[in-house]
Amino acid sequence: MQLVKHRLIRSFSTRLTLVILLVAASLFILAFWGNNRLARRYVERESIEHVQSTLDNTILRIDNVLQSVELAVHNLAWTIMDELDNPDYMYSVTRHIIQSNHFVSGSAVAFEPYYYEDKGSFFAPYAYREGDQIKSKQLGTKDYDYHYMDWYQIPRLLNKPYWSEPYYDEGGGNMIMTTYSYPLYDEQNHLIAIFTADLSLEWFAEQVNAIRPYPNSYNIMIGRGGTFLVHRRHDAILNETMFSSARTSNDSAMIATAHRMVDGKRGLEAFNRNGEHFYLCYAPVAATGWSVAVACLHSDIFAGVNAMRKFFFWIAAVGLLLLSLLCFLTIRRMTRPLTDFAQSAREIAQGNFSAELPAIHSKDEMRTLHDSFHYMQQSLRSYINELQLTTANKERIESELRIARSIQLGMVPKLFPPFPEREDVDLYATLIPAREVGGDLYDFFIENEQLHFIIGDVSGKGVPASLVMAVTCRLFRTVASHIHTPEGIVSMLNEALAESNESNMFCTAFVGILDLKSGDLRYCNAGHNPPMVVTLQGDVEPLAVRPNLALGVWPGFSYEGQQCHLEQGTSLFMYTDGVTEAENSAHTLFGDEGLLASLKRNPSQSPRMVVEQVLRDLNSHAAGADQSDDITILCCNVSLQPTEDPRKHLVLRNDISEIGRMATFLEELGEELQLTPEVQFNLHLALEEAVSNVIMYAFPEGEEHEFLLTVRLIDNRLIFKIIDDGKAFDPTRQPDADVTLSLEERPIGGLGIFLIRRIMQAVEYRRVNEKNILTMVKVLDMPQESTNA
Amino acid sequence: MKLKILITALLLTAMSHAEAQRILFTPQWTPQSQFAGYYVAQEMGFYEEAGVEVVIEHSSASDLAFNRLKRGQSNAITMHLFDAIYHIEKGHGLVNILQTAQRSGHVVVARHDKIKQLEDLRGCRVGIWRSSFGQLAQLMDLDHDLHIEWIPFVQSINLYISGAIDATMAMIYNEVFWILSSGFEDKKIIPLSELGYNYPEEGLYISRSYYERYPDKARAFAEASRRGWEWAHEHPEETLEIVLRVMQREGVPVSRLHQEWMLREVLKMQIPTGEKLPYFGLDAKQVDALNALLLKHNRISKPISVAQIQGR
Repeated sequence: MQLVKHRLIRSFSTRLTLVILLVAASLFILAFWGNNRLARRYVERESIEHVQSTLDNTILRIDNVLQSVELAVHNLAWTIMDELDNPDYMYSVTRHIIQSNHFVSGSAVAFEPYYYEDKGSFFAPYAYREGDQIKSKQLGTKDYDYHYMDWYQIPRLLNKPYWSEPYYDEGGGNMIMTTYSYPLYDEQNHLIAIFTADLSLEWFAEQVNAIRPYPNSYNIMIGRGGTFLVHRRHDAILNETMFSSARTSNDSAMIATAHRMVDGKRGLEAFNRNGEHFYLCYAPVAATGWSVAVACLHSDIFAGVNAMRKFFFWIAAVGLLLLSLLCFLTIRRMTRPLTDFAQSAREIAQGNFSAELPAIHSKDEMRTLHDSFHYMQQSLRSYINELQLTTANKERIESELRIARSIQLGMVPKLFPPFPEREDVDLYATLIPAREVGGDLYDFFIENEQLHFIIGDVSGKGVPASLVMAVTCRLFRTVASHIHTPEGIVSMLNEALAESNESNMFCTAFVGILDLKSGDLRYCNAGHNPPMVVTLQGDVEPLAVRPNLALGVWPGFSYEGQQCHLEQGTSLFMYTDGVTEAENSAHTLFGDEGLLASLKRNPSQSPRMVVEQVLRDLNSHAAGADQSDDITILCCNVSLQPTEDPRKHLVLRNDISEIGRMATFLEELGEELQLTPEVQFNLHLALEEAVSNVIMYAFPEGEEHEFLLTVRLIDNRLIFKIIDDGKAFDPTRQPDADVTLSLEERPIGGLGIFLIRRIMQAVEYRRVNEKNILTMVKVLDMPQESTNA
Repeated sequence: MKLKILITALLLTAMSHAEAQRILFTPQWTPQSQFAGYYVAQEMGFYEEAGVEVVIEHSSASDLAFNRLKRGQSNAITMHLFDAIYHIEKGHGLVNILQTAQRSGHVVVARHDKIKQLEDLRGCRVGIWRSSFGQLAQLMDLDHDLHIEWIPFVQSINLYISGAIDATMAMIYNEVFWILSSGFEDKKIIPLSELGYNYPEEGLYISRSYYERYPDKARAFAEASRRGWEWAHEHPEETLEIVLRVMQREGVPVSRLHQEWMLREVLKMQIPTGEKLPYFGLDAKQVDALNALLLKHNRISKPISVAQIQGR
């Protein structure tokens, strides 16, 4: 379930649908917001204009009525002045004004006290409506002293006409009234009377309440002191003021507005009372000092906009839902082949290049994808075929190269020490190709007490170089056994390599012949690095060589040989440029300096140790950097020591009892050298065989002879020699015992030499000066075959 | 038959006797918080508990309380001490049985911005109550030789609003509220108490004839009224509701805010300056000071003592 949900969420169609939905919703929100804002602004402006114009119209109507009353009073005032002599005329004037103006509900001409002596303190003819009739009476009495009424006293004090503040008329039907008072003056500008006209506020209230721009809008009208004249709450009328009302709700903004209203200002203000937002639009009734205000609730003004917003919202919500559904389904239908393609791709990846692709009938991108997949299938098929072929070829080549490597390494001597029986010369060499096979070479052999050797470096690397190397190696062996001068050998090699050298390969080489008896060295260089001469004292210096030309470059080149003498213990260190040109990761060469330092480290060591020391230094210099060139070293140490200086020796007689002495001799040797019991046992076995042979067969029966057993330790080589002057007998020429035969069937002696060969690493026989010399070498703690071998 | 006549006669005598003991009480003005304590005593049954039957009948601008008392239409009225001394000195039978206001509620409210102090009123038009209360301000005018042109008004503050006067006299608990409620919050208000005219004002008075005939009833009436005022101090909110109820019953336009203001100010005035609790007696020193003022301006010819005022 979780997986299905996860897949659904991660699916292409869901995500694309979400993106489309997001974009569409964002656009909608933006449009919705902008539209709403504009609509609200427009509606707000329109409503305000509408409300203001309605308000102005109402006020205009009120003003018209007030003006008509004022006009009626002003017009009749003159007749009063004309008829002052006739006090009773005042009754008809007051009746007349009520008759002529239906808004007027009462009228009085209220005189100053004793204006008419006979009328006394109070004379105020008064006409008023009672039902449909107009009645008259004299207003002033002792209990109703009109001289102190606002409608009388205020215009008298202000000396100007005055609209009274509305008041409850308790006598005339509990109506709210306002009175227009017009003072009349005589020629001396003394007040004569106040001419009044009463108006019911009912009609004004109706006019004001008729302003109803919105269902919940409400109106107020206030007097000069902010007293409510019209209010939706009836008990507030004449009982509360806008100031007290605003103060109750602690609404300072409303108090300020009330001030502006009583000051006769026009205005429009927004309010928020207890979360109810509304506009208050107000304008003054100039004549009376009243102010009319219309309060419109935001919710009313924007009801249409809100309804429209709600409508748009639902349209958009449904639209977006449909859009998402449509998008989702369409995209899923369009992308369904992708899932099939994914399945096909998985199959193809598993090696089924013939996996079936989904059928595409459209000619759109899916078709292109299908064609690409198909093309990919074909390409993969042919590529894999090629790859298989190439891999097979590569494996074959690699296999061949491995074989070639073993062959190449087999071409150079790699068993060290090469002449274990010899004490006068020690030699060690290594060849490390940079690739499977390389172009470096070395070789040596001893013939007639002369050590022939070569070290060389074929130009280039890899198989071509290895072929030239093989040729050079073979040629050296062949040529050196016939030509006994280095320059002769070199010239011969040069001619052979130069001949039909179409690939322009060449080979640098250093060829030398060392007389092991005298230490004289004849040598010829063919463009190779000069070898280093390391003396016993630790001096290291390059051998003086003429460079000459490399082999194979110039047929017929005349090579010059050279000669020198090597002192006792001197080592000749020959190498290829892979040594000095070995680089580390910073491309710093090991160089001649590195080599010299390495060689000087311990000059008296054996060639093997010298070479291993150089290789160690070389490795630490390279610090893991790839080997770029073949590395080859040949190091040879000249001992030139007489053989008659054995370290230990034992003189034996040709008596079989001497075997006991030999055993004692061997035990002492074993203890001294701390040989393992196994080695001691083996040595005992081999020597007993060899010594028994001499005792038993070297001398004629009955004759007593002595013979010598010597032993010498050089490095890890334990060299045994048995020297006797008996009849010539070469045990090494004896065939090995057929160990498959039974003991009775085996010929005598055969098993002995078999044992000796098994135990000793080298066995050599020489007949020198009528003496048999049998040399046997046992290498102690035989090291593992060197990695460079 | 004789017995019947006798019983009827006895009953009639008893009824007329009970009627004679009934107290017809007329506060100075139409129903409002100014008389809250009496409404409380009536509504809470304190009068009944005290064994007095009290009928409250309000006065109006055209039917003043003192006139009703003089005519015998009322037994008890409320009146300012100033007027009481004046009338007692003139020989009217009045007995102070409860002094409710201990301070003066008179203030001058400036209409013109130039008026900042008493001296600024010189030669100005100043509104004053036509029916009562006006005397004290006029004596102050004489004291300071201000030559104020007094403009009497009946009840509204329209004179003030219209700007026809430069200032007006007002009661702190009544007109001041309306002036403030008409948007004149920033006008200078000068209390007379700060000008050396801090006299006890309203008190409960009973006709001397009733007092002498039914002294116990008069005392019970005073005591129950006092209890009503004390309850009002302790329960101002409930008292306001009682006042509003009475006003509605009497058909008087109700403004809760106004009545709330008035109750607060009237209760405040019952606490002597510097005290914390209301006091319902007369302070001899203040009475002497008021006597001195009235004598100075020849309103009375001899001082009236506290004992005289209280009918002792």
